[in-house]
Amino acid sequence: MNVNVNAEMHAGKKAAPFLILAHHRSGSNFLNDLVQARPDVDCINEPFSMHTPFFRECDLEHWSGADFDPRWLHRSLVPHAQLRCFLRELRRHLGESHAQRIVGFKETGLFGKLGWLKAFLPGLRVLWVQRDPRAIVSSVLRSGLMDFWRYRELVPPRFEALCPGYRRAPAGTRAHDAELVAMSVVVRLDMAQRSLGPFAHHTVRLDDFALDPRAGLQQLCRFLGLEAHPEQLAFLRQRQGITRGGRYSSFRSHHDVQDAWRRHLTEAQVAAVEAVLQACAGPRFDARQAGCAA
Amino acid sequence: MKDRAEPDLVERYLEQAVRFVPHGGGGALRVAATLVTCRLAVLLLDAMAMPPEPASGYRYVNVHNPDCPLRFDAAARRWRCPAALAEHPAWGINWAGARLLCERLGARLPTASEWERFAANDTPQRAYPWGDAPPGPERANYDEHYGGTTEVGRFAPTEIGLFDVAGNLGEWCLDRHEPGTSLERVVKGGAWSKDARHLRIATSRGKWGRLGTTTIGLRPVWGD
Repeated sequence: MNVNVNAEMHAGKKAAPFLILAHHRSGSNFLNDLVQARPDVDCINEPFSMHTPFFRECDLEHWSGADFDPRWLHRSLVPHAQLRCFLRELRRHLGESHAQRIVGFKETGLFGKLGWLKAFLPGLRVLWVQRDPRAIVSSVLRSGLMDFWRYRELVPPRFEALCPGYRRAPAGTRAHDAELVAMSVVVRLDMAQRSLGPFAHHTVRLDDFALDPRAGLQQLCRFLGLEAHPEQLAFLRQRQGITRGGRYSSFRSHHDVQDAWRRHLTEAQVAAVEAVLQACAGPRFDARQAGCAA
Repeated sequence: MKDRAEPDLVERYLEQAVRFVPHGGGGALRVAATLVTCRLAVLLLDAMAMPPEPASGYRYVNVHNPDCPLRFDAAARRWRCPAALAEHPAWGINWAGARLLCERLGARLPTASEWERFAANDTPQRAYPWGDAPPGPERANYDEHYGGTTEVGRFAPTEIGLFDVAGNLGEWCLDRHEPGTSLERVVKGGAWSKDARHLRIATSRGKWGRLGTTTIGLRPVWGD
């Protein structure tokens, strides 16, 4: 649990907007639907990643707070007037968040831009979702979205900078892709650990909602300045009880959420994931914080 | 429209609109029997000579969501949708885009109040468009029972002949969600991924009108 309360956010009737920040396939849709199960909260689905290709293309690129420009927002946005307009309107919309109507968004693609984001949306609160990396790897591999998210191009250079000289599994093996996704987990975890300090933030573990739904929900709501809503408890009971629906469905039995990776990953893939986590273990990176006691 | 492909589709859509006369006041409306389908949306976008969306953003259709059924075919210079989704309701269209499509049909979006009246057939105490019986997957597409949108007309219509009033996709309304400065517009009707609460006629949600999302479509109305 990591709560850093920023007093200004609760001042007056204004309520700071929130961001649900998560690695791909780590439960952000579930959290998105859970917070919206109550009528006084709205959560936008990936305005940076699913409403423009721009941020997908420069995912993991580092934008610091000093890179924020009041006029252009960022130097690389200079040629994109329409996108700047969209982002300004987004900021205005988030700025309308108030105690009776709290507005936020979820994102999977802003890990490298948290410094910039703090300058763009100074009052933003961040819910950081964590999940067992083995479960993330398993879900990403089954999603068929690795190319869409450009893992092969974007992740290895960032991982190499973090963990120089790491010897990868041979290309073309099943362990190779599992290893690549694990690298993505490590890279994003490192970025979040470096950059979340200035935000009011709260770490949410997906497993918490299965182990003790009421307590998990209360902690989540407390961070948003709310009491847990009966509709949210009903949501947890219903959606953690059964698996159904499409790729982004939040109907997932907690057994599937926690254990599906055991059925889907081979021993070699699990070993590849754990090797990546071990290789980066150290004072700055704690595999247990990633939800996996490797 | 007559010189375009599939002109009958628009004619049929207009003819199938349902006349609704509220009891005790309010103007009569004609209400589209179904949500605008992908096939119809493509036809309207082409009829308006809607250009492709900008590479880094969008004005009306969120083509940047990889699952969006509406696509601009640059080679053919026309909009397209997958054949398998042609009779599914169109999503990814933001509030401004929904208004434009309505205008092309000589229609407009309903107000939330109008929507509630035609959804309930002017029976204010009614819980759901079909009455007060609890929802189930045989009545509507909601709660991920189908994993995505379903073709319009799959479920029984309301007593006045409206399909998918509850479920499948939410429906943009004309009104702001909160009076004053809010950028959010009212959305009614529930959707394939939303829970049963959203199927209730009285339930509204607000969504930033700038967004073309996976759960919101449109149902045009015409003032008589």
